Amino acid sequence: MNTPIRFTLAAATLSLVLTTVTSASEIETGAIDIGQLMPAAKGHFVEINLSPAMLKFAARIAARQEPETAGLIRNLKSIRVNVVGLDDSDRSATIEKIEGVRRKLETQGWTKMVTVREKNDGDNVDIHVMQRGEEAIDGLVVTVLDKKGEAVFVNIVGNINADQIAQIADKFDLEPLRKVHLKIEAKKKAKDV
Amino acid sequence: MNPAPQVAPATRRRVWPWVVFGAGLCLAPFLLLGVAAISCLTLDRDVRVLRDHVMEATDTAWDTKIQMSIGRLTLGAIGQGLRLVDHKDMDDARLALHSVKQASVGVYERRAGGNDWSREQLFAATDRAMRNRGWTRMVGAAEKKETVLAYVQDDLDEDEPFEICVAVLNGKEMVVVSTTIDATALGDLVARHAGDEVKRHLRSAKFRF
Repeated sequence: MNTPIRFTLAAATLSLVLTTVTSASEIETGAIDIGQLMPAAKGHFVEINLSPAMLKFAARIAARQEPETAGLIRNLKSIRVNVVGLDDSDRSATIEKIEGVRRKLETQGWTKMVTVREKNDGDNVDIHVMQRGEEAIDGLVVTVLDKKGEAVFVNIVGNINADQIAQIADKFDLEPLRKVHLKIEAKKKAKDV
Repeated sequence: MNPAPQVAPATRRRVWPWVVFGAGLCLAPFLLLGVAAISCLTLDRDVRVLRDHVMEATDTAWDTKIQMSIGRLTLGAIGQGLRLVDHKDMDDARLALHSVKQASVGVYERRAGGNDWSREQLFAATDRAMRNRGWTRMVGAAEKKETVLAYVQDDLDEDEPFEICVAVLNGKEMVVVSTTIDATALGDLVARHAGDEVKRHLRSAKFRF
């Protein structure tokens, strides 16, 4: 192989590697990409994607009435919520996708904070968090396979501290979020001892 | 023999610009009215793209029921008009008007057929078309025959009013809306009108996974 061709190939390989590294680093810490989910033929479907600018917009609206909530929202980078009604056409693929996400989270350093497994094909809930230090988290993922026949995926990305989690859990009576806060506190105490 | 006078053609030449100017002046209000009517009765370009792709994906013919656009000028004129009205809810109306910078609305009715369209195809086609124009889907919801799609622009500036494009589709009707909203004015309206109510609802609600 002559030198110009070798040089061109080397440059192309280098630019490919750089592109791959750049696109990998573009995914925020705490964000998890599950790809695009589309509605099934019959089941219900909800998808919400909130970008940082939208969240700041929401924080401005909430600021007057709920300053604490507005403070929490302002620290968030993105929120993604998917609710997919399961029917025969998508049940196995969606369940496999959710199970795949759970496996992926555990191999990527996320901590499972809450697990709910009800008997007789009841609710099946996992909450994973990406911790930053002892008192803050970079991301939270809630995955639910519901007995009513729906799958839920929630990914909240941003700088969320334990106190804010407690405030929001108390304010909106979110029991699973309260458990997350208690687990973070327990971990912190165990480390101190 | 004296030479022929040269004055007459020069005078004729000077008249024509005045005739054209006069005619233009007479026609200008009609032209302006025509342009205003066309801009009022057509949709903004982005929401038109959304409407066209929803129509295409649903594979049926639609009849236009209402189609209109209101810009800053019209909204400003309505705001000025509201100053003359005396009513207890007028402050809320003014605030609501102040929070909207422009709006474009279209309502369409399904003519016939088109029950076999794919929701997945609708989402994919409209997402692709809107993404090409710099819009990202913020909300997508589908339940039986009802579908809601809401898009926001990618390059949102948090201090600027933000634009949103929405399409709501049910069995027989489709509504498309694009609007520009001012967050501060909307926040004031929410705080004044629904603040305590929303707070009470949120506190009493039991969120369960």
